[in-house]
Amino acid sequence: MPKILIVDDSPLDRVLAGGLLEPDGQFVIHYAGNGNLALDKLQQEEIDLVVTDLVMPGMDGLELVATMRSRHPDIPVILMTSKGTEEIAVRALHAGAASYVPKRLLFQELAETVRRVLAVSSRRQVKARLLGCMTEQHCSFVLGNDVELIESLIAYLQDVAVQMELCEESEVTRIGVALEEALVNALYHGNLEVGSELRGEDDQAYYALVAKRRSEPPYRDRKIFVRANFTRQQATFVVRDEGPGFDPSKLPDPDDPSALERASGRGLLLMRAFMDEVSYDATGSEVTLVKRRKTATVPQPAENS
Amino acid sequence: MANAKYFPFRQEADILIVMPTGPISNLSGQEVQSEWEQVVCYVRQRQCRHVLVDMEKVTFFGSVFLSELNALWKQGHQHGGRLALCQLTPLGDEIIRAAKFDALWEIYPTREDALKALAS
Repeated sequence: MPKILIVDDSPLDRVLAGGLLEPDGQFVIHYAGNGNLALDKLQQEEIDLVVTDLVMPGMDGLELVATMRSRHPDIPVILMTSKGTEEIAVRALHAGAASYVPKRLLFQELAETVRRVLAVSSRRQVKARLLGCMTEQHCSFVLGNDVELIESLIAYLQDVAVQMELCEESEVTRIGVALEEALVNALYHGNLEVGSELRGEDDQAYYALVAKRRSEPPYRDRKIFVRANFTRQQATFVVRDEGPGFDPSKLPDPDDPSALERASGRGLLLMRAFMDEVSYDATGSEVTLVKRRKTATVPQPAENS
Repeated sequence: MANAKYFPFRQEADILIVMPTGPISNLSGQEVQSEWEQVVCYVRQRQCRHVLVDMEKVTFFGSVFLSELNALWKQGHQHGGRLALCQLTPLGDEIIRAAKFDALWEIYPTREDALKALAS
């Protein structure tokens, strides 16, 4: 039976909200008088959903939503709003609250809103279990020279790496930094053939050249091809551009002190620092990056229970 | 430039203190770029001798920002100026070391340490 936690500093309002849910016999109701007590309760009980007032002494509803977002991201929160708290409610919804019910409509709407939010949450949990059973995922993308899509692709690939439990949150940013370097190389140096010499020296000229080439052939018609393969052991990313390529054997030695002040080559150093393997094909237009799972034991797919 | 969105800066004696307000992606847009240009312009006009970049809020950055910092370092270096970074996050520190700029730039744990060193 789903456990609902009602959070309100007013004992009367607490009992009223709980009373609206209890008669159904579908829920077990717990109570807390403010945000801090609610967090204590969440440590003690396996709560499925929180219904909270917004204005409370101590930790208020907005703070509770923000804290739950980081500590209990899977538990949905429904806000009880009253006249004058609409602005805080909007902020709480932005912070991750699932829904809200005006206090004056509790009688008509609370039980139905709780059922609806629980149904959505349950579907999410089943989906998370399903993704826990995934053993391999392969995806391919063909992108134009579009920065927004590149940013979105990096975020997507980071999400899949987390889903496949290849790395922890802290490692995800490292994957993002390395992928960004590979994709930026493909876009600017590969497809648009804009070298890094201008970068930092004359940024206006650099960006003017980028803008010009984005609209003129053959640069504008070139694509970036990305293939990603995820298993529970490792992720492999292959990024290819349609530029003229380069001779990978002529890459500067990163340990050469004279290379320190050069503008180029930093991206490759970052890719190598944050991935386990980085290699170019003979044409220099395709780079393969491999990230392996750190721990020795590979997680088994979740049981189908 | 105290009210800048991405790169607020202020001058203390002959040190320009730049305080980026968040991560700096390689894919950051024109708005970020033009604000950085204002920092470069200020240094170019030699209104200050040294530059200190407080990296406390820069959770990550890439080779593009490294190139920008390197250009700033070169520019100052030619005129006896110094570039220092302080309050690097653990990942920021990794990025600087991976790119080997720790051999070129001054890095300090706190802003106070950096200001003291630059003033000496």
